[in-house]
Amino acid sequence: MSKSNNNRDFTFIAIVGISVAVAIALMAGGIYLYVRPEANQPQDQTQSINETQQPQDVTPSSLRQTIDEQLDELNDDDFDQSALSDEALEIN
Amino acid sequence: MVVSVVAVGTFGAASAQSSDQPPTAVVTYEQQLEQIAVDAEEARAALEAEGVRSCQLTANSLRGLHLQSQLTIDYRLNIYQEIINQANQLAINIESQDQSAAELRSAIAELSDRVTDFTTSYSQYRAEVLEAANIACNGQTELRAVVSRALSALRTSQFHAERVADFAQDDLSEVTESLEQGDE
Repeated sequence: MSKSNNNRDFTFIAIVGISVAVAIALMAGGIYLYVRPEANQPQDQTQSINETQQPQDVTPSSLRQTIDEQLDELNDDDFDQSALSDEALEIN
Repeated sequence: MVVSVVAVGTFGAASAQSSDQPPTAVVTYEQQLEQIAVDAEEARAALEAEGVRSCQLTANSLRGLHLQSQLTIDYRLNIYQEIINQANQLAINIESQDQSAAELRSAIAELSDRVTDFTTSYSQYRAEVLEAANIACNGQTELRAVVSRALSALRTSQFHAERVADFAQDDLSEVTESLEQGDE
């Protein structure tokens, strides 16, 4: 009777022990997936977007057109110095 | 039972990761700049209501400028990279036909160098603006010195940006024209 009880106790403890070990392993895996350094890098995403959008049939004239169109998107206001003036910064 | 609960937790972590990805909605560069300006103005109004010192308002303005400059450099570098990508693709196309693209390759290298110069000087400008924000309350003499360095770096970066645009529109375009003449 006592031996049978001991066996049941041992089996129960073994099951609980294995369950806890598996649980810890899964949690560790989940945490790794969440915090791994390469999980959240916008540059990589940008690069992959650029790669997928890269046209395959570029010609000399289409490149010239791209240069004109792309540079036309740029804004001279990017170099406006007035935001750093004494007046803007309220420097006396 | 324990295993299934933890498994749900694991997938929860994975889905939380995917929800952290940046939104895909297209917001224009100008709209983003405008939003930063609006946010900075609202922050300024809140600071004024709290009765903070004027140097803290200056720091707030400089932080807004620093945020805007992050957008600016990302936007410009994307545009420059698009030109370089297409020029590279053209070089690959030419070489795949057993023709020389040496002149085009050389132009791409020069353009890349000029983009690097711009990146360096504009990053310097950004660093100076952030430094100015951080020391805004240390005294006006120190602030003036840092702002002066920021202005100098900004002028240099403008010069570098013009060199990029000039080279792309003149030299690189000329190379593409000579490639077309070579085909005829």
